[in-house]
Amino acid sequence: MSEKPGVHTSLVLRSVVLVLVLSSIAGAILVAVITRYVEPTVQESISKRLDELVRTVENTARIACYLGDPSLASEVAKGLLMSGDIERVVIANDSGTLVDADRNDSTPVPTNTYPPGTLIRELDSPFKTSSQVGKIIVVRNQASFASQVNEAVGYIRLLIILQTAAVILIVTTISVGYIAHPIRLTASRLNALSAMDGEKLIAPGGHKTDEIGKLVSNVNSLIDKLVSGLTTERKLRMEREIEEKRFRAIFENAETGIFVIDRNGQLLSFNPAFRRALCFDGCQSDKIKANTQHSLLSLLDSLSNQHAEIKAMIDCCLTERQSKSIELALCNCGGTPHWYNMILNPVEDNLIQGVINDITENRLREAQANKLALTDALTGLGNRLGFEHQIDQLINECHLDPARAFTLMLIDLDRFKEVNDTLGHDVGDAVLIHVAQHIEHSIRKSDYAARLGGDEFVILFPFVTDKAVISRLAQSLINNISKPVTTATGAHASVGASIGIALADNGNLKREDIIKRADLALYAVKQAGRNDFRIYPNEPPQANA
Amino acid sequence: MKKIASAITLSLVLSLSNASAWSATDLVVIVNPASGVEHISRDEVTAIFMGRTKKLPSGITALPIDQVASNRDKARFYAELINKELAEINSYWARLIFSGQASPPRQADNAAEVIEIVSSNKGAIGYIPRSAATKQVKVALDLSQ
Repeated sequence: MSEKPGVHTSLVLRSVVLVLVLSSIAGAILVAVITRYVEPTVQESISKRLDELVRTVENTARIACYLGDPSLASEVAKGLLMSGDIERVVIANDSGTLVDADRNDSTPVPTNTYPPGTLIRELDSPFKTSSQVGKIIVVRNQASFASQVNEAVGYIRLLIILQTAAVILIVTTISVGYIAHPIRLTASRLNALSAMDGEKLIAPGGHKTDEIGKLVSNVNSLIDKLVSGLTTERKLRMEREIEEKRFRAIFENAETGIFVIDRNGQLLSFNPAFRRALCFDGCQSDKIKANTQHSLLSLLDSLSNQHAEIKAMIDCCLTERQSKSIELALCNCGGTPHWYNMILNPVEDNLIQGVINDITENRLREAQANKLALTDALTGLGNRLGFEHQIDQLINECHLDPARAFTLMLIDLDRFKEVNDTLGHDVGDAVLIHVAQHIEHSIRKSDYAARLGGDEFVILFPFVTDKAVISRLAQSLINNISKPVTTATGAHASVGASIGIALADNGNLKREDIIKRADLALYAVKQAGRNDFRIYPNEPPQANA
Repeated sequence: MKKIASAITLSLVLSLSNASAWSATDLVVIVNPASGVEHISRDEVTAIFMGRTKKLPSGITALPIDQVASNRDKARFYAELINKELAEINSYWARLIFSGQASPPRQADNAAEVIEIVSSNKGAIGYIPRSAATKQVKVALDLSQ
C-alpha cells in the first residue's frame, strides 16, 4: 500500500498521457482541417496583394499600352517583379507584346496558358475609359505561395503545440495537486490506521466536502461497521465456546457411553464412558489400542463377536431411518461379563449416533427373578412353571429339527404319604430334598429336573431316546431313591419310586400328550405293584425282563 | 436651388445655341488647308497630342502645337478633349521623359503663333478659340460639339 505506484499505474501519468494523446489527435485533425482552409486564404490574400500591386502601376501600364512603349512597359514589369509574390509579368497592347519578363531576367517562352492564380487585367485607354488599349498578365510566384502557405500552417501548428503544452501543464498540475496527492496522502494514512482502536481516517485539507472527503467518510463508516461486526462476532464466538465446553463436559462426564459412527461402523467420536465400556484402555488388543490413538477404531472390530449382527443393525437403521437397540454381553477387562444396551440413532445421511448403557445389574436382577419363579423353593429343582417352559422349548426345537428328540420321565414316590403322616412334614420335606439330590446326581448337566408338586418329580432328557439307556437310568434312580433316609433329627424313613416314561421322538407331539403318555405309563406301574418303571406304550421294563 | 436652376437654364441655353449659333469662345482644332484633312475625330486629336500617333489621318507627319500653360485655352482644351486637368497631363509627360518614346508637343505662346505655325507647316495641328480662326487654317474639329 505504501509503495509508490509504478510509472504505468500512476494516475497522474496516465491522465497526462491520455491528455497528450487526445490533444495530439485533436491537434492533428485541427492542423489538417486548417491547412485545407489556409491555402485558399493565402491564395486570396496573394491575389488581393497582386491586385493592389497591379493597381498601383495600372496607370503607367495604360500609358505604355496606349503609346506602345516597351521601355515604359518594361519599367512597370521590373517594378512589379520587385515583389516576391510575382513570377512573371506580361504587358501587351493591340499591336503585340510590349514586355514579357520573369524573376530570373530571362525571356520566358511565350505562351497563351497561364498557371492558376494568374491575374489578367484589361487596360483601358488613359484618356477614354471605355476603350481598351491592352492587358497586363501577372503570374503568381508558386514557390513564394507554397512557402507562405507553409509558414501559415507552421504558425498554426506552433500555436496548437503551445496550447497543448499549456493544457498538459494545467492538467498535470491539477491532477497532482488536487487528486493524486490527496489520494496518496489518504492511502498512506489508511495504511497507518489502527482501525481496531477506533481511530478514524482524516480527509486531506481542502477536501472535506468533495469526492475524496466523501470517500474518506465512507471508509470511516465501513470501518465502524467492520469493527462492530467483529466485536459482535467475538462475543458470539466466546458464548459458543462456553456452550460447547458445557456440552463437552456433559459428554465427557456422562456415565452413558456416547459415540458417533459412519455407515461402515468407523468410530468418529466417542466419550470416556464408551471407552470404559469397550475397555479400550484394558484388555483389548494392541491393534485396537494403536487405532484408538488415531481415531481409526471400528465399532465392528471392537465387538467382533457380534460383527454380523451389528453390521445388519447399522444398515437397517440407515435404510429405515429408525432407532434400533440391541443388548450385548461384553467381557470387559477379563472380568465378569457385563451386559450393555446399545441404541443406534440415525442422525445424518451416513452418520449414526449411538448410546451404550450398562444393564448388567438389571439383567442379573431379572435373571434372579426368573430363577425364583421357575424354581421349587424346597428342593432347588425346577417347579411346574419351569418345567413347562423347558418342555415347550424342547418341543419347539424338536419341531424345527426332528433329530432333537427327548424323553420325559415322571416320578411318583411310593409310601410318601405314610412317611408324611407318621413322621411329620419335616421328615417328609427331608425325604423330598434327599430324593431331589439323588435325581440331580443321576442326571447330566443338560438334563432338566423339576418337582411338580407333592411327591411328584419330572426329568427331561434332551437328545436321549435310546430305551436301553433310559431303562438303565430309571432303574438306577429307583435304586437310589429306595435307599432309607436318615434325617437330621435321627428319624429313619424309606420311600420307593414309580416311574412312567414317554419318548418324544417326533415333532408333532403336544405337551399335554407327552405328559399324558408318561402318566399312563406311571399308572400302569402303580397298578402293577409300584417301585418300578414303564415306557409308554406300557411296555414291560426290559431291564427287568 | 438657385444654382441648380441656373445650371439647367445655362445648359438649355447652350444646347439651343449649339443648334442655332456658335459661341465665339469655343475651341476648335485647326490644320493646314493643304494637309489633306477635312475632318478629324476627337480620338485622332488625342492620339496626336498625347504622342500615340505621329501622323495625320491623311498620312503626313503630324506636328501638334500645344500652348503655354499660362494660356487658359490649354486647360480648356485638355478638359474638353479628354476631361483631364493640366496637372494630369504634366504627370503623363513626366512618366515618358525617361523612356524617350514620346515627347510633349511644341508649345506656342498664343493663338496667333499657333495659326502662324499651322499655316506654315503642312502637317501641323493645333487649337484656338473659334473667334481667332483665320482663312489660313482649316477647322477640322469643333470641340464644343
